[in-house]
Amino acid sequence: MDKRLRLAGKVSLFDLLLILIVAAVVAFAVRMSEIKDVMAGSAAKPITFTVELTQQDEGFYSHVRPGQKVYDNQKGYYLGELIKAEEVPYMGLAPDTSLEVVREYPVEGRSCLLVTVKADAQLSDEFTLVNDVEISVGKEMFIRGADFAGKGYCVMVDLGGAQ
Amino acid sequence: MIDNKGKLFSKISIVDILVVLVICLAVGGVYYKLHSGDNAVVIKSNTPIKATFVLNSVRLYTVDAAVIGDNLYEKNGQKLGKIVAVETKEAHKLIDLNDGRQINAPVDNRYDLYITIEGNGRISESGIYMNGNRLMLTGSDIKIRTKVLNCEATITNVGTGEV
Repeated sequence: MDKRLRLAGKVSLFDLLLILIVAAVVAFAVRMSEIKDVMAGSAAKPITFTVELTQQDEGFYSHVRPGQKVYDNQKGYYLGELIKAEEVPYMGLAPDTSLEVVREYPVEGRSCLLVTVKADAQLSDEFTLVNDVEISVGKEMFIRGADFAGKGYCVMVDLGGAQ
Repeated sequence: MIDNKGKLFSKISIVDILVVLVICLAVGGVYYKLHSGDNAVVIKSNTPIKATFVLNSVRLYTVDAAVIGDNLYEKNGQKLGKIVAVETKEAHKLIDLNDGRQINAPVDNRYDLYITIEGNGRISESGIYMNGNRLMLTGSDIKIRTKVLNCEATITNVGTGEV
């Protein structure tokens, strides 16, 4: 490699990097267009989904009220309307050596928030998408409303017969 | 052999060789990933394959999201087959007892979820492949999804006919 960062004085290292980056972008675009093709022509249908926000101090989210708009907090895309916000105890697991089982128990002072959102989704055999955001049980989600934000996992998707 | 500028026989830069090697390894890796197994002798092609996956220690939310009849995809978009059976078993966890023994204790409200799919694949000398180049090995982890489920599972059984 010479002083101008050229391999054997001929091929620029930056050119190679540029080609690799372009190839990665093209591969990503092809994948995205495949998803779009799958979704093409599928009309939006109403669904509900629930996200369990990571445990916080009890009452941390007690101000969250239904009726507000919910957005993906990474891409900024609109997801839907918050129709239910339910605070539930955070459940821990601990071994009970006397009974030889692992017990689930509510952890004092900690709670989770279950946020249920009504959305219009595009459905296919492969994906459930709300404004290009994949909605599926087990997927980590970052959401925000008008007065709250949090991360958690999608725990329920109700297609409500919209299949 | 190597001069004070780091060049072999005063002509070829060691850095150039390293960069070329890295690029060759990257290209070779991608090729191997895409074409591995292609050279193995095919014993049976386009044959029905049944495979079972387990999701360990999941909550009821996840169990409810596994629906018989849904198609199951590998996370990169490759379809593996259709879900034909869903079974749950009580989840267990190793715990230490006060007397020093370890036991496999049942866990409250956690389930081992077994999902069985049927799809097409090929049997070759190097193993059973589904949907092209996905080598299905018992014990290996795989990221899977349906239109409402997104998770990592372990392959527990693969074969033709009953598994």
